[in-house]
Amino acid sequence: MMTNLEKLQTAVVELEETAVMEIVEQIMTSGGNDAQAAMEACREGLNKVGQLFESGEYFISELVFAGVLMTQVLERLKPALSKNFDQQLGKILLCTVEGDLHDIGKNIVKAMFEAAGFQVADLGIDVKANVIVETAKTENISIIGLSGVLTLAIDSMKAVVDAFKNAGMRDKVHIIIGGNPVTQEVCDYVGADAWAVNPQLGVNLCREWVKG
Amino acid sequence: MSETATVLRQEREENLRNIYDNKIPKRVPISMYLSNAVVAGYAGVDLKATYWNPSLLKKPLLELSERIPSDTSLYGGSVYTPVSSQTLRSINKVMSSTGYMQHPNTRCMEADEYDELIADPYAFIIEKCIPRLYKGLNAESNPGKNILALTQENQLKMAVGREEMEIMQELDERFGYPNGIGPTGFGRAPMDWLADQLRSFSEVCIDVKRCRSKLIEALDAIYPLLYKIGVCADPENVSRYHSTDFQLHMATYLNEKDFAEVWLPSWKRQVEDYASLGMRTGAFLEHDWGRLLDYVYELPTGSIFSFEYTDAKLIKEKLGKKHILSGGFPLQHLTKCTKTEAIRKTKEWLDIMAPGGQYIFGFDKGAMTHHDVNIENLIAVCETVRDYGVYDNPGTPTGEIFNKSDYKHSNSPVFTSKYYRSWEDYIREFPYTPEEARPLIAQSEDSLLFLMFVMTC
Ligand code: B12
Repeated sequence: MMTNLEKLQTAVVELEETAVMEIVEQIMTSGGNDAQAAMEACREGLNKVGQLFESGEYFISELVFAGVLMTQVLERLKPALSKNFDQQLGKILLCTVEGDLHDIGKNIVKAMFEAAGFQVADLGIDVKANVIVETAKTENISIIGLSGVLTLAIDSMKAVVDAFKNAGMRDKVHIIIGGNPVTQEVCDYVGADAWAVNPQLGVNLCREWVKG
Repeated sequence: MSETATVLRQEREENLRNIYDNKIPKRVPISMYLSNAVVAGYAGVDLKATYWNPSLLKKPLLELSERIPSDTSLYGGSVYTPVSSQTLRSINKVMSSTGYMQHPNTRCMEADEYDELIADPYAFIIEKCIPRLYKGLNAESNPGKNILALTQENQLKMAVGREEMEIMQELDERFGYPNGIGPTGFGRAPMDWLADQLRSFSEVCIDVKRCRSKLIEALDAIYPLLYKIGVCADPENVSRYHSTDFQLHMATYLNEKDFAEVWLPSWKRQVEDYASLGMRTGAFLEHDWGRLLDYVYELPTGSIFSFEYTDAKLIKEKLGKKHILSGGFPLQHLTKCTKTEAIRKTKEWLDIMAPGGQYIFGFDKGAMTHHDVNIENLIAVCETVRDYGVYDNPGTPTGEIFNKSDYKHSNSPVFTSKYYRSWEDYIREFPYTPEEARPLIAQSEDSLLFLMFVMTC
């Protein structure tokens, strides 16, 4: 027999929205004690969705839907998650960089980070370097996640790193970049601290940073 | 027209005609196109200025056309321009700070509006989509001026269009580009249209899962409209030397089940209906269709398929006899390879794609900026196709023959809408209108429909 949490994880992987929401509902009506574990199960599921995408069994439409599903689950579980669940790992700033309007990848990364217990300040798409630096300063955020899929996004990412340098804040923040064109070479050129195409690896890296 | 240009045009037209007629041409034709951004970048002209003053592109275009031995004109005017988008304050076409025109992920239809779309698609475009996409036409956000906007856009578009036309004509005359053969129609696959503009790329990914049957019902409901847009104006006089072309978009981002059950049926119906009239289909297959080639094979014989990412051997083997293939040659080779390497890669490519004819040389994608093109390499590649891609058996029959009677027209309902006025409705309202007005009215109803549709593309 599968436990409810195993069922939940499977339902996420199979993108069975009704089943996912039913189980989440059950968890909530029975007091919500399993909320945190449910989040964990969903994140595992989402990670599996990412793997199925990489292996060519799932496609972009599945990724988009998985992201939406995840956001919905989080919404429903929120009241039961320990008050500081989304702050326990700290805050991360996330956005698609200037000139780039693609956000499918960014939204999935956001869902993964939230499910892992990060609070995500999502600045949206086409975000200018100075806005990112300002927000990091005023909201005191030390992890910056940048996303982009256009080749021109690479220069915009570099502009963000430079803006942090100019503001004298470069050593106060960790910058992680991602998106289809990002590679180690790109990361070196941009001057970011890390890069990841797989969001789970990104989450793991940021966890390390938080632990210090 | 100079004598060399006349000879070149004849040769080019004959090559293409041979391909369309299931014969081996003299050599592989080259289909090339350079966007305004590329030409402007090459010439060091401000891209933003070229939208308003296309003649800035004339000198560099003359120079490039002289140097690049393409068999089609390098210039096609501009598709998205601030001339239109700014005048109409559009949100679905926006210019970036560098002057690049782009299509953001906009939507003008909500998930709970499927029934409204289904009831009267054309009315939905006019009442909902256009005012949402074009703030300049929206009575609430642009009161008063919304009455002026469309006419102003039309005036500006005509003024700029005239200049573009002059350049096109001059290039055609000087360089002998083919005339009267090639694509003439424009169509959209039903689900691509619904996705790209109405619901947006990402929302449609959700609809496929969440309200699949409504989505399918909608694809059925919009069919008569999309059919009408792409069908040739005079179905009695269909020419196989022309094609109605599609830019396919969503297909490869879906899993096979969603593709086969949701995306494909309406488009297949469309191209089969066209085939039953004798029409030819052309399509750019965006992204990687590798896993879907069996479906592509099934489409009407003699379709022209232009590929993006592709395995040349595989498509040649699977589709090369039944269809005409094009595109696929990686644009990246122009910037990543030395000239010698680029030439070698071109020859290797032709060794696979050229045998048996039924191939038109082209790149996998259009260059976004002039940084994506190394002109010297581009010239070398085209010259190689011209000189190496020759056949020793021109005129020999090849490929599968298209047979109109293999295709049956579906039972599609006629297109109707409360905004598409029939002659009967017209004379009911204006009973003193003479019969002379009839063709004019009909034509203008059709061009309005086309205009409204294009505004959602
Ligand atoms: C969907 C799509 C669109 C949609 C966007 C919908 C949306 N809301 O995002 C629409 C139709 C609107 C669109 C528009 C355009 N597009 Co587009 N689009 C795509 C497409 C098909 C998929 C991109 C995508 O979403 N991938 C899926 C996601 C999940 O992948 P991802 O972003 O890489 O993210 C993953 C990882 O990289 C990682 N990740 C991402 N970010 C981060 C960040 C961090 C911190 C971490 C750790 C990880 C991480 O996690 C994600 C999950 O695995 C690609 C082609 C392709 N096959 O890739 C073209 C593509 C990106 N588009 C392209 C272009 C040119 C455009 C336009 C400019 C076209 C135009 N002329 O209008 C406009 C864009 C305008 C602009 N300035 O951005 C080109 C880019 C070419 C280039 N070299 O730059 C591509 C490559 C298509 C092509 N073959 O030419 N597009």
